[in-house]
Amino acid sequence: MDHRFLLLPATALISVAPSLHATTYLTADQARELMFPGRKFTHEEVLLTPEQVRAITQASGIKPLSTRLQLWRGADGERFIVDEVLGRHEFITFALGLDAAGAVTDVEILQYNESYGSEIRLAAWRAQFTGKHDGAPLKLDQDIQNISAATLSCKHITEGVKRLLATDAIVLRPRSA
Amino acid sequence: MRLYRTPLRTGVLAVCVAVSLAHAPAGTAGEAVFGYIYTTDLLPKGKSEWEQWITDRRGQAYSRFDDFKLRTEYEYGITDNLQLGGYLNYSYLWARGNSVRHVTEGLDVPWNHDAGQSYRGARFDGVSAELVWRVLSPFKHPIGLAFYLEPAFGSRERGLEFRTIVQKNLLDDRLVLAANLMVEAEKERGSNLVDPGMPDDMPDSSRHKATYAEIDLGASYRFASHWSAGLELRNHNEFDGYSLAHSHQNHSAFFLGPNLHYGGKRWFFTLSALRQVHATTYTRQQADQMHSGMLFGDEHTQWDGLRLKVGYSFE
Repeated sequence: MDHRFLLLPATALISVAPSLHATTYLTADQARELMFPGRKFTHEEVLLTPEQVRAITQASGIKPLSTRLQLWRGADGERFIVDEVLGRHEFITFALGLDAAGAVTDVEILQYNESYGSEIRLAAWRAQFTGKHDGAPLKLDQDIQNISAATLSCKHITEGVKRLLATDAIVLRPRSA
Repeated sequence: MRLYRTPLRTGVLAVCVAVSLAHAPAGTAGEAVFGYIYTTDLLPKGKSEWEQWITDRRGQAYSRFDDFKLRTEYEYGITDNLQLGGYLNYSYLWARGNSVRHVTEGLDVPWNHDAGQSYRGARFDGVSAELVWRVLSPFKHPIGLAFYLEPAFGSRERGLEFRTIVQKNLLDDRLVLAANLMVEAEKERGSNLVDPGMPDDMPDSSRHKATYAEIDLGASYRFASHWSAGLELRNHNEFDGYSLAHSHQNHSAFFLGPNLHYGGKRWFFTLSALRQVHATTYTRQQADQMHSGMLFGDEHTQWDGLRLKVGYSFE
């Protein structure tokens, strides 16, 4: 009889079954085809040197999470990059499309596994990045409007785009020229 | 489990620094990365969460003492910066010869219980509510700031708790530093505790007024996808009546321990284990409740406490 209260949390736990799963919205190929329909791209893995990592960190204020970068180059100088930023619990995988001059053509969310914040997939929010160049402020509530229920995701994607624009300016574009 | 490669050593160092700073005399809302310390993390508007807390306040001066505090909570985001919660509070106590007099008495033992006998009992403690208002978000501002209000109503205790919550995120939001300043005014019914200095006096069953003040500090580092670990320090102070004057102060006690947190898409759990590491008493009655450098009596336990929180976020 005395143990009856201990049964309450156990019952509540059992009554709600776990529902952990990853959500992949787009593959890299699907995202690239959405951004650059029908265009041919060549994949390469870029390894950042310690000096490049330092330069990117200094230029963007954000340290790369990895020294490996997944890059696809188009025939006319377009670039398509797949990278990750930290979400609340897991990494958010996103893709960035750049034109030959280094301006953002599109941002796509490929994989998102968080309970809240998937509003960053909304086209209207992602459209804020279109046309941004390296050197743009890319700061929440300045040139990028926040979604209040998705602040962490908005912040980290914004920082991720800023970091990749710096990476493009320092590492990728010079090689294209 | 995917471990983060980047600045783990820096994170560990920062945790150590935060904890060393926390030794100065002095804690989800949303998903809780700490066992005892609150953060400014709130549920988005229209979202809700269920939480179950199980806290074992374990060990006093002798023999057996396990005071299980259970709390079932439902939280709801009224706006993105305002959250409301409701709790059911209940407990289960198993005590035998626990006190400094080596009898069954003190913390949560009914005032009319025979101290010569062991005690096991369950009790519904009451209900409480919480309202959390976030003023600054740690993701957008240099610090996060929130205010917390918790009225509680029960047959044994009635009180009002106010908490100021400050949060600082570092290392790409992987390191969370949090501080809470808590003040609680309470009316509490006495236990069966007998003052060792006046053993012929009957235990006092009447309600008495008390004020509690806490400074809580914590650091939690997300070392891998889903997983965080950290340290928490609580400095708990108790005063007679509704006063924070030192002349009314009964004691000051410190609790320190690690925590471990797992957060999934819907589920999370947090485990923390806080041990009493130091206590200072300011009255003769409180001094008589010290044993092996720790304060017991109606106040505290060796482990205060071992806490498990489990939460589920609804769609």
